Amino acid sequence: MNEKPRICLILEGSYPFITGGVSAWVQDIISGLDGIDFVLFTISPQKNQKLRYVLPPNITEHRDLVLGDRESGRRSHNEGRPAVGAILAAHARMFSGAMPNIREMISRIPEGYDLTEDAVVESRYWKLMQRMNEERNPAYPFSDYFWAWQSAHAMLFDALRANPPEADLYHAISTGFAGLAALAASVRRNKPFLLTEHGLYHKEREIEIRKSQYIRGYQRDMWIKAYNRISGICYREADSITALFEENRQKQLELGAAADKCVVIPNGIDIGRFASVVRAPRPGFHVGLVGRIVPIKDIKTFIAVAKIVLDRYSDAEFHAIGPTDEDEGYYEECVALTESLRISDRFHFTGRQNVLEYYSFLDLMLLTSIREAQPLVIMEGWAAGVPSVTTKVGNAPEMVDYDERFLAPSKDAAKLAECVIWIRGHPEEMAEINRANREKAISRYDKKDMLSSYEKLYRRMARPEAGKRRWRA
Amino acid sequence: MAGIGFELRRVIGKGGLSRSLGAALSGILIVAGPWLMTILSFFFIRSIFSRSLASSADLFQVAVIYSYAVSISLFSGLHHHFTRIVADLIWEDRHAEASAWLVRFALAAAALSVALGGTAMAVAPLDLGGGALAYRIACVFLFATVNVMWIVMLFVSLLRRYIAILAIFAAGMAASVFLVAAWGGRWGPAGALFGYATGHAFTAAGLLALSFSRYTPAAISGGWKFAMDYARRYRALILSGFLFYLGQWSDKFVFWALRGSAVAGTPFRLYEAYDVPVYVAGLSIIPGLVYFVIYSETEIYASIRRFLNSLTHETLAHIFEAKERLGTDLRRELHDQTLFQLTFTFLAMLLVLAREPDGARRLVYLVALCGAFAQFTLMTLLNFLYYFELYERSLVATAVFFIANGLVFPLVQLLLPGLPPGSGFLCAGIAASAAAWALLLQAVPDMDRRIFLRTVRRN
Repeated sequence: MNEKPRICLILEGSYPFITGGVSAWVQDIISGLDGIDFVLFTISPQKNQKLRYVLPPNITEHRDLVLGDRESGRRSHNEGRPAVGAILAAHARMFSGAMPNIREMISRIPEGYDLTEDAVVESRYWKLMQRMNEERNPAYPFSDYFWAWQSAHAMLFDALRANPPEADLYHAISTGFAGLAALAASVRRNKPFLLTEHGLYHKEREIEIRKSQYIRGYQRDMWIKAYNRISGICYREADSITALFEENRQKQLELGAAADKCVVIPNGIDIGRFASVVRAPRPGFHVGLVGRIVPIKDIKTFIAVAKIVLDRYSDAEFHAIGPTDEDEGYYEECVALTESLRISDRFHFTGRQNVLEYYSFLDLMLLTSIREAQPLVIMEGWAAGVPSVTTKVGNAPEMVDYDERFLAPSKDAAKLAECVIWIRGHPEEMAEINRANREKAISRYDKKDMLSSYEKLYRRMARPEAGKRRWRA
Repeated sequence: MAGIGFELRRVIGKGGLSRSLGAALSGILIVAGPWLMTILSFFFIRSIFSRSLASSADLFQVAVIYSYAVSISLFSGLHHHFTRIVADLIWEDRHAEASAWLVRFALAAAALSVALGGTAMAVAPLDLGGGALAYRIACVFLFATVNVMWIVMLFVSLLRRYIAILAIFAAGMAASVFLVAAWGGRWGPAGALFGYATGHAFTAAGLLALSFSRYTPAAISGGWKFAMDYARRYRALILSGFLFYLGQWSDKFVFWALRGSAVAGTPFRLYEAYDVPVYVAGLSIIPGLVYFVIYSETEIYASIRRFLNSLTHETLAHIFEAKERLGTDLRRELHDQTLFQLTFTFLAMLLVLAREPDGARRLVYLVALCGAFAQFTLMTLLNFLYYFELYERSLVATAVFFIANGLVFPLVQLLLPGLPPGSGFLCAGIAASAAAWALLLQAVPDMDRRIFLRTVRRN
């Protein structure tokens, strides 16, 4: 066996171009497993994005696939004929209620070949599209249906024709297009496919679609269904699946994942680093939120909480600790909100900071996110001795043992403020809870455990014999 | 020309004989005005000045005919290329750039004409004594002015200033006649050709001025690469234009070579027994051309617009309806136009039967009239194919036309010398029309898919 397995991480809309929880996790995995070589295959909406991370030396190659880049895949349509036949057969099976043989279909799609035009060049395919429109949306303009269908399939085809670097294992960090690209590489190269999910991709897309003003009516359902199907395919076809917590694992099982392939590997933090923080409380009551100043973190609710608390305790101070440059418009709105509520002297946007300094004096961490998977900041705070109040998102409720004193629904500023006020009013009780939280962080969320779990998984799956049992194209 | 067709239809729609006749006359002037003026000026020069030009009349005539024939045969691809670029730029309201491309293409046409014509005339063995060099230069000058005039004509037809165009043409042709008389009498055939070409140059200059008065040329983005990209993208269109006109003239070239009589002092040959009937038969399709502009083109244009609108805004069921109607409209328009033109072709045939006493010449005229009818039908179908951007299919039809008229039937004519000239042209026109019609009808049921595919490719 190769001493250093070569793992291809397949990422969509995150590392190394976007900062955030998933990206930080990827950086931790790569830099924490220096005995493993990594290659990156990123799926991007545009070319030449700026790197937001310094790539660790054990990343030996980085290839970027730009969705919608039609130029690179134009070849003779004769080459795509078998693929069209297989895609039609897969559709026929899908419509009859049977499971399509996705691996068979992928094996017919030539690597790098762009099928986008074939869907219109091939009259059989065109008729299928017309039939689907007639059956499902006869009362709507056909062109709307066509372009929705076309854009959805164009991205699918981009993922399925993807040409990631050679590797011993293809590890997708989400379902969606990354999952499909990993599946396609796994089929073509007869290598295993590992799927890790932080949030649930199809659920996140569903939230975006429902919020979008551009996708309306039946198209909304069409897109949601499409993303659900893609996730279902990834769950069924992955050789192994990891989830951050049990609830997500259950959802994966519901969409078709086999129970024996799914394991939970929680996030982890550098316990030593955060546990070594020397607490130096400052006068007043300091509430912090560690995260990017972006809508998903719902900073405006944090500001509303600050206003409610400050109305009661004027010595409180609030710190939004994180980069402000990802969505400058949103940041400016937040600043304007603190000014209009006249709390800007007690509410601080710190920008990117060394969080350890803040953990030394913060009395409370607040998490107002509308979407999270398994927030690292809660673990970090606990290790450093700072309690957390959080919205009921992702794994956060389970992390705080569903204790309603620390939980509130998303956007419920009043309930969040109530939690903050309760913590301020119960210092002795909180001292006990903080001790228990620190124990929990050390025992459950140590990054060493997470790295060790992934290293074992990588080495087991990347064994040369792991591929032999696989379905061969 | 669909725009002017709609205006003429509106006039006819108001009723009244005088309005209808006025619209028909306008139609004739628009579709055939410059063509008629060129032919009339040419025949006028020939008949009025044949005495003063004396034996050099043939030298003048052969240079004019060869200039037009070779020009349209070799440069028609360039014309289609130019028209496609300019039509797109005008559609995108980039008129100043379109005007700049007019300058570029006119200069390119002039340069190519001088290169090709100069080479041909330099090696052509002429036995004209001391006037040979002047004659050679005059021929090249005429060839260049004709080619530049085609380009300018294509552009100005997009301006829709038909009265101004006709006035400039009339003035230019009058200048041609005057200068032929003035310089022909003094310097012989070379002088006559210079005079004729100078009249053409005046016409081209006038039309250029008309164009520039509307759109001042601007800087072009992309340069010739832009034009070369167009040439690559529309190579089927360009080639089909080239093959159509080459096909149209190829049997004439063959007859000149095989049966024509040499023009003294030159290697050039003409075959009047076929040439004159062809020119006369060409005039017989003018009513059909007018009908096409006023009725067929406007109907099909409207039908295509309806169909395209349905593709953008309607349900699949409505798209199918619009597509069905498009097929019906195509059949009906071709049927009606055919009947209309057949009536005039038939009348022309009766006229030939009544006025031409020579049996052999009569047969050639009748065949040429039928050939002109077939060619007109082919032109109509090619226009429909162009409307749908079915350029590959138009290329197939024109290839049939060229191969049949330029390659197959000359061989048949050699094997069967008794066949009247023009039989090949007639058969080629019928075969190519049948091919174009079949290809058009076959494409219509699939037109929605083709248009979506085109849009996907452009995106």
